[in-house]
Amino acid sequence: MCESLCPDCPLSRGSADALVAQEAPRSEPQVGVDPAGCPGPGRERMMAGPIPLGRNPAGLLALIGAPSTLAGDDAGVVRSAAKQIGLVLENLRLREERRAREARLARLLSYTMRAQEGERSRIARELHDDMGQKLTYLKMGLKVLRAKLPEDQAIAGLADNLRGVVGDSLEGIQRMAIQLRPPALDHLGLLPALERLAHESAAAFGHRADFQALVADNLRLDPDREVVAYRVVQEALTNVGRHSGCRHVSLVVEQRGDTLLLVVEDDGAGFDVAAVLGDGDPGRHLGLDGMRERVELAGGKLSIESTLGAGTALHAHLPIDGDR
Amino acid sequence: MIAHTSDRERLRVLIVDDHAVVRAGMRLLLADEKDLCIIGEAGDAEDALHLATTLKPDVIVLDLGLGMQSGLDVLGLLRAQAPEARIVILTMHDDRDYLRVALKSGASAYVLKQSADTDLLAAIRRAAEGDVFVDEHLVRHLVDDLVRREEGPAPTTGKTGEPQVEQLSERELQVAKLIALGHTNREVGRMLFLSVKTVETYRARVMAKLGFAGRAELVRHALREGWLEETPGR
Repeated sequence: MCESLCPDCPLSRGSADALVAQEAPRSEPQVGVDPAGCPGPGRERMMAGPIPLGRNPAGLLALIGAPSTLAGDDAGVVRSAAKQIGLVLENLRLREERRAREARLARLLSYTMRAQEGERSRIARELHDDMGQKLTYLKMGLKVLRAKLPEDQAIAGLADNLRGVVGDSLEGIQRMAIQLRPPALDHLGLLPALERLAHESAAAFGHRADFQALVADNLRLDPDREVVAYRVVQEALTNVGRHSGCRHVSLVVEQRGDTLLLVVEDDGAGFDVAAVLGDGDPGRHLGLDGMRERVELAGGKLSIESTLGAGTALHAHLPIDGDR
Repeated sequence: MIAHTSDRERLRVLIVDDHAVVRAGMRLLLADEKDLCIIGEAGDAEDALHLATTLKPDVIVLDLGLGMQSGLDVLGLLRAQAPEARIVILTMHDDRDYLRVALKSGASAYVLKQSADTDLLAAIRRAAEGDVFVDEHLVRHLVDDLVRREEGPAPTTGKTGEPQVEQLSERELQVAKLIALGHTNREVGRMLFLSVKTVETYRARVMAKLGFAGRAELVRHALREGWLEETPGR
């Protein structure tokens, strides 16, 4: 539109900006200059008003026409059209902002989760490699000391006692280290780690577990995704154990093309998924939200199906390779 | 790497652990044993292999942790390069898979560090005699595995003889296949134009007819029956 006008026309870029600036405070459409000497199809008039966007106008809406076609009450048309355009622009801007904020949050969450895993790993290693070894030494030393002690019931008893306490501490450290970072995941691979998780969880909660994998034997995901798979199954099995009162839980791992599918399914009490997820008390669904976040950040998706009295199935899909 | 003087009359033991403090504990523990002597100590895999081949110990006590390099790899190398030496695993890993892999890879004994004070000496002696020693904390797992193997994979309930797929109606079979393929009830419903409730009903009937307790059994069955063959990704 501007190109068709002469250089000193108010609609040529610079002068339009100037008009916007000048009009902004009043934000009233103004009947513009009569561009004399315009080479266009006759003497034209312009009616222009700023497009509002927040505090600053986003641009200028101009009607151009022959003097006879622009009447005074067209100002209202320009005003409301400009306002509508402004609203649309504002919505787009907000949407863009929200998308950017969500992306930022996702990055932050992903970073936090990775940092958390790293920290857990570090603490587990520290427990194993430092405290565990020192306590081992202490226990061996106390055994030797005990053998060298004079025949005194009380002292010998104390030495045995101390050794017992050290032994308990060692077992506690071992348990804690495994919970923080299952060594099986690092050393044996995802599938054995998952199978073990199912059986250990079943033993802890007193139900039966059945594991079935249909994947290539040498399947490995990138380490971050393996942790996601492990943690999601862990959380799901814990939920099953705590809340479902089931007799049986199935863990199925299937490879479908470039997707890994994990299904944790129980025959327990079931729950109203929509009600729990929609509950205002986040304590009730924080675990589910966490699982979903983890899976989605890894480029996958998670779904939960539950029927009251007939059990619950959690399906998690994770991409096997490629980017998220 | 420390090479000690040897004594031909005693069992010659090489200790391999990247934690100096644990090696010190073992020295303490073995010091008063008349029939055992430590002929060398190694803190990493390279030293361990070198000492194992040059000193020819009777028994190697090996920590499975061993820094960055997997202790299991070291175990394999030691077995290959010093086949005469019996290997006693001394580890923090109270873990039946580690136990299984270690025994498979040729270890003679598996002792948890928490039992080192009471069990290590016995384990060394047993290993030297060509016997096997497993920490009592882990024997339980061995028994469980044994029992499970004898029972066969996941015994099914209420089933007599081979499951009869013929018993399933066509609809039930369709539902069963899709569920075995990993679909949710909702997805199955969408694919077959059924309500979720109806899918649940078919599914419950399938499980009852086949006598299966859960999805894992259904998937195994599907695998046996070849239901999954036309699908990609396997």
